[in-house]
Amino acid sequence: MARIVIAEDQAHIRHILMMWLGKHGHEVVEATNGRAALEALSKAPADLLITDVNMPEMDGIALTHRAFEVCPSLRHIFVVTSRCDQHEIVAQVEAHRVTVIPKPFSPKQLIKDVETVCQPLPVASIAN
Amino acid sequence: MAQKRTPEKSEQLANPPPTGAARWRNGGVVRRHTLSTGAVVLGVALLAGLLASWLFESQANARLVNRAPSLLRLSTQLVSRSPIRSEVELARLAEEFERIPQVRGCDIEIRTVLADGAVAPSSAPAIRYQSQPASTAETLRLSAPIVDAAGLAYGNMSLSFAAVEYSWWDARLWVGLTIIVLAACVGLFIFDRRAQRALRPLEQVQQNLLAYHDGVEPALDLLAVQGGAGVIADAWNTFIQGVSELRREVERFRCRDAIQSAHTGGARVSGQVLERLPVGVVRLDERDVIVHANRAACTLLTLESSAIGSPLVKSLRETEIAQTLISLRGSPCGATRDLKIKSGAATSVVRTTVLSGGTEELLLMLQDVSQTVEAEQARDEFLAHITHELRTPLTNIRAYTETLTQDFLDDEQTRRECYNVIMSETRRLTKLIEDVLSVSQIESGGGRLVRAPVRVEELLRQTMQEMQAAADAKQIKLGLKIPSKVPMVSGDKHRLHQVWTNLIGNAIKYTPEGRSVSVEVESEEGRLRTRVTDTGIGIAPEHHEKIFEKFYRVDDPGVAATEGTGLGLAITREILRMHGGSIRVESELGKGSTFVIDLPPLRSIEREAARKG
Repeated sequence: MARIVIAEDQAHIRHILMMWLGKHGHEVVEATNGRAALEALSKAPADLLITDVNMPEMDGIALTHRAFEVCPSLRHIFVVTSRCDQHEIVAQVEAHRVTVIPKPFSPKQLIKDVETVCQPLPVASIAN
Repeated sequence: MAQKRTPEKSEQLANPPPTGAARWRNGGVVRRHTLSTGAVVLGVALLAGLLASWLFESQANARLVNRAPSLLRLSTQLVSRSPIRSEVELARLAEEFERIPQVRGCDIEIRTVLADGAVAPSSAPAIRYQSQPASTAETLRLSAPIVDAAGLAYGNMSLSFAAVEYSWWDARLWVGLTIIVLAACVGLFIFDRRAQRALRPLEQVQQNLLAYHDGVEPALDLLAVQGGAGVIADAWNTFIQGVSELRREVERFRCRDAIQSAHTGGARVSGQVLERLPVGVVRLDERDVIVHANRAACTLLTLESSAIGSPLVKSLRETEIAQTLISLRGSPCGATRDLKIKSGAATSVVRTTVLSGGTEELLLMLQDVSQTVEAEQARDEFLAHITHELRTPLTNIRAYTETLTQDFLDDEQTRRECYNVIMSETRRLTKLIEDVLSVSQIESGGGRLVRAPVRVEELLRQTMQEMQAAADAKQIKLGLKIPSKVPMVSGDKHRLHQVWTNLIGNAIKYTPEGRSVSVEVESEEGRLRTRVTDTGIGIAPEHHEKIFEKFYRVDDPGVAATEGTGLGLAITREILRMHGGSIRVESELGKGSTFVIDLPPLRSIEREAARKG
């Protein structure tokens, strides 16, 4: 089980993500824009951030840049976007800890990706 | 040696163009005809004169024969009434008679003289008057007795008359003169014909020279004429042979000149074409010195024409541009590079294509592609927006459909919600596609208006009715305030319906539940003004213009939460612009918005047609 923050201004998408993640036993915090999500991340530690790119007040890119800083416990960020310039988004974020998922996405596949990321770290890496 | 004219040439001369030469030729013909005709007319006139004089004399004689007896009778009556006492008195009377025209002689004898002094009738003549011997011209002599009041003859009177005489001498003179004149005419005629025949070669020479003067190529025929005019023909023939030789020589020169000018003129024409090309062409030599730059190249690179012959780096204001151009040396033919060149406040995009990129010569073609690039950018942005807008409903449809297939979904309420979301997102997708098609149609000019007089009241009521369900769903009160007489507008009913649907739809979308939306129509100086007022979230002043741009949506949670393609207002404004109308918004954040539409009135002629229709 992981603690996940969702930043998405579209209610339907936010709602369906919460439903899927909740059904799979994750604890979900929802935010309708980047600023609210950043606030949520700073208040309580989270494992994952799932964010849209185009959002009012603060967009997903800016959020991604500051998320690891305000939330050291954050392990990975999923950027879900319907924008065409995904390669530019990838170039703007830390590629190894951020995955860009184009819309329309499969919730089932997203759950798989989330679970892959949330697996306990190998012992060797802990030792390191 | 004589050459006959070919039929074509004869025809050419027979139907010459109406030139000065032709007029002169015709003048010659008229002169010849006048001479011949004149002679004939003169002869006929003489004969006619002769005949007329003879007829006149015959008439005069006939009149005399009729008149003479009555003249004599009157004369005898005059004698019998006159108191004649002596020969002197008789002679005086007789002289009076002789004064009568055509009377040539008079012979009066009185035989008896009465006691009272008057002459009485008697057997022997008492008094007699006899004029001079009768003239040779006498043609008629008449006598009558002189009678007294009682009817007794006492004397006798004779009168001689001379008629206008038909003189054989006179006739011969006339005939002779006529014959002489006729002979002269015939002689002249014959001489004229012969002279014409003899001078024909000269006429041909004249015609040829006149034709040449008029720009017609003369028939260079040799003439075969004997006699006096033959000398002229010989001179002509010599001239013609000289001209033919000269002409051949000129033709040879002309061919040579044409071949030469084809070379030099071709180069000149190419130079002119190159100079006027809308595409810039620049040629640099091996040291990057400008060898050639046409007018368009100078304009595009902001080069002075005096820069030709100078190194490119020194001639261009922006050294960076010069370096980029020079760096194209060695590039393959057809390689391109886009340059951004500043000219004053504007920046243009110049596409440079390598035509020849060798070490000795660098030949570049320059095109201003600013508009193309701008159009490409606009198209890319439009496509990016559409893709983005399509992905959002598609994401929902995919996610909710996938959810419906999951086992964890055991709740009927959630299942229904999923179906509803799929339905609404499908509608949103359909609306988006319709809007995109509308934009595309309007922008490509294919969305032409099908104009007809539109009854605004009818159309508005219909639209309001259609929107009622959406308003009811949010318990929004829809109100329409419309005057009794609304002017018709000239427009496309379908497009105007689209305008009002968009505006009323937006008003309902952005108005919270339980509030109201009103539509108000007023007519100002024939212009039709419609106000669509909502009591919704309102629009900040900085967005008042931008909301009419394509895909622009205000960055606001209230807007983001509301479905929309960002195309509705752009389409609305474009449709109104096509109608000659306008749209603006009056709004304050949090206090609702009013969209004000103005439409021009129906022109009087259309109004008339609509009333009849």
